[in-house]
Amino acid sequence: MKRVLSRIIAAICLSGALVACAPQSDSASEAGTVRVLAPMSNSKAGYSLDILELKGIEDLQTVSGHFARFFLSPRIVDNHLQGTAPKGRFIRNGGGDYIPANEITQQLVTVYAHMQRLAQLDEDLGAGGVNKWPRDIGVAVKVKGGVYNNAFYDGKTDSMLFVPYDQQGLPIAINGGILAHEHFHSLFYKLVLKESPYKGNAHDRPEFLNSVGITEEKARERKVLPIMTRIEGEPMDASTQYFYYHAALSRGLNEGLADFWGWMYTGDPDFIAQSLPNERSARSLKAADENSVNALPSLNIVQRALNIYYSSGDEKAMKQYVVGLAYSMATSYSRVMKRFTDIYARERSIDSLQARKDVAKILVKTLPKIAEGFQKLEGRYYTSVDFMVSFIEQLGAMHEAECSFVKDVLNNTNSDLTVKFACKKDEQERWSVEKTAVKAPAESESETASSESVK
Amino acid sequence: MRFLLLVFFLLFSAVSQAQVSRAKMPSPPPAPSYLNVYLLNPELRYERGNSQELEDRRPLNFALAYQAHKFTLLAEYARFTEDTGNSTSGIDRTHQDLVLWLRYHAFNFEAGNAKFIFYGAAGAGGYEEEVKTTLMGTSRTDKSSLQFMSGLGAGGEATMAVNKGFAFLAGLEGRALFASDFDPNPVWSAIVRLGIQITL
Repeated sequence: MKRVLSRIIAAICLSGALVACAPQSDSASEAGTVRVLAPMSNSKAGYSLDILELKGIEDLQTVSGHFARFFLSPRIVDNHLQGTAPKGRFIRNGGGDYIPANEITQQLVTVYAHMQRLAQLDEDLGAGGVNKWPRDIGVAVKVKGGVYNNAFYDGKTDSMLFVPYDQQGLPIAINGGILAHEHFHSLFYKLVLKESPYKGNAHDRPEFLNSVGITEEKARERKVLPIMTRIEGEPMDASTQYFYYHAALSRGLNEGLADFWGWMYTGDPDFIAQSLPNERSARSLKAADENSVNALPSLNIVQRALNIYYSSGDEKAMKQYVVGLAYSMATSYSRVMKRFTDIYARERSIDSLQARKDVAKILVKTLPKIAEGFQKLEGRYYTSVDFMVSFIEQLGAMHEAECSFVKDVLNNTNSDLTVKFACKKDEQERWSVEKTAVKAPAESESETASSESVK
Repeated sequence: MRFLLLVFFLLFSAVSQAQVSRAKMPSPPPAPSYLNVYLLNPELRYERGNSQELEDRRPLNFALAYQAHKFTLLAEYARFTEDTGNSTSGIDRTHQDLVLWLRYHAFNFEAGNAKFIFYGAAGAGGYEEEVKTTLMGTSRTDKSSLQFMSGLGAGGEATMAVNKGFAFLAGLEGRALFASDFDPNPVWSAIVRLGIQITL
């Protein structure tokens, strides 16, 4: 018996020695700059598998570092994400590159890589310092009732949240356009919404599903909107309409500009459809007829839509209707911004990427002006015209085609019949938009002499 | 710390072996030796999966063993795959390992044509993993270098002799598999071994 025990002890100790000899996990000890394989979007070639460098990595196994840290199915405590970090699985190939060995690892690596790029892009576009790094990112987020195929930005926790993806398209967490879209929400939240009374509608924690983001459910909501025309209830009172209007407008603007950001980042006007094919027709930045892209949601149209929804008598569903309306408005904003960018590139003979970056830079400067507009309303309605005017103020001198497009958008959007917009050229051949007061059309079609340049 | 642990284990194993050597008795008459062929080895391993939970893997497992006296030297090959993702973006990982196990038969019983052994085992070997990454119809394959792994196990095996030279085998073994990149480390595994034994 003694011999038996001795042999067993010897075998155990020998095996223990072998374990002690084993080198530490490569991925656990890897830090600094690490070369990994990730599916990345390229504005020319679409998506491809690239070996790229992740910088500032502190722990490759959890893919945490300077640009991102991840939380698995996090809880929210004191406006912070709380939870364990997901653990990645890698192999190291002959070239010394780390290859994600399962889907979640690939997603962690890809999100990190995009955060790294977006941080640089923020710097390039004048938004450096708006966000704090590393970004907090929740993966495999569990939402009561089971929600799939979504991504959110939550302003209160300043985090990006991904729920599981169960479709056959490009998973949302590796869709660079959607990541850029969500990243834009963080800029919009900090530069526009943070002090706004209308942020609650988009970011209320109990209304988690209403957090701004990419959602497929919203497409279904939109589909039911046109049939909600049964007038049953009382018309909306002024203060309710005022609230819902600005809730829809701020969210529509936020979503629309975020869609533009996704296109700006990837060059793909259908970046959402890569993951959510059902969204193609509603969210594509590519209109069937480009010439039809010449207006933003006007004050009258939005008010009329809200009144129709409200009059349907279903107050509980009103919030959903507002969300659906906001997404419809969003597509107008994103398409107008894209078409302007295309014209900008053509007029200035620059490539699309440069034009997208230039326009994005102007948008970054415009965001604080939108915030100022919201803060100084004093009972007045903030309109799409106000947004466009702020945008061209930051843009500066335009070329003729740019001015002509902006002028058309302003005139087609403007609900104030006493005002018209026109293009004006100065001595140095620089174009700007001029606001002109006109008499009511019924009285006279001639314009008055009074005019005011918006640039 | 790891170095101290290594020194401790090596010293301890040397002392244990020395005690065994001192206690050696005159050799008993030569016992028969056997070739064991394990054709069907349903195995369950638990490792952290894509869901981040412990998921079971069911490797394809073959083994061949030489049994003599109170020892069995067993070579075991195992292979399994983990497929994650979808048709647009997928990752297929294939793991394969080859481990050489040394079993010490701690207890033996005989009842008629049946023999039972209970053993402790230690093993060492290597594994490699291959990852096929697919994105929108294009794919690439990467392979890791051979990595070291080891293991500890315990189990029991029953032999039912059909005649002097041939018997059927059935066994159950639990083990812990160690490697630096295993998650968790060790990976726990249970295996049922079914095979045949040929008397040499």
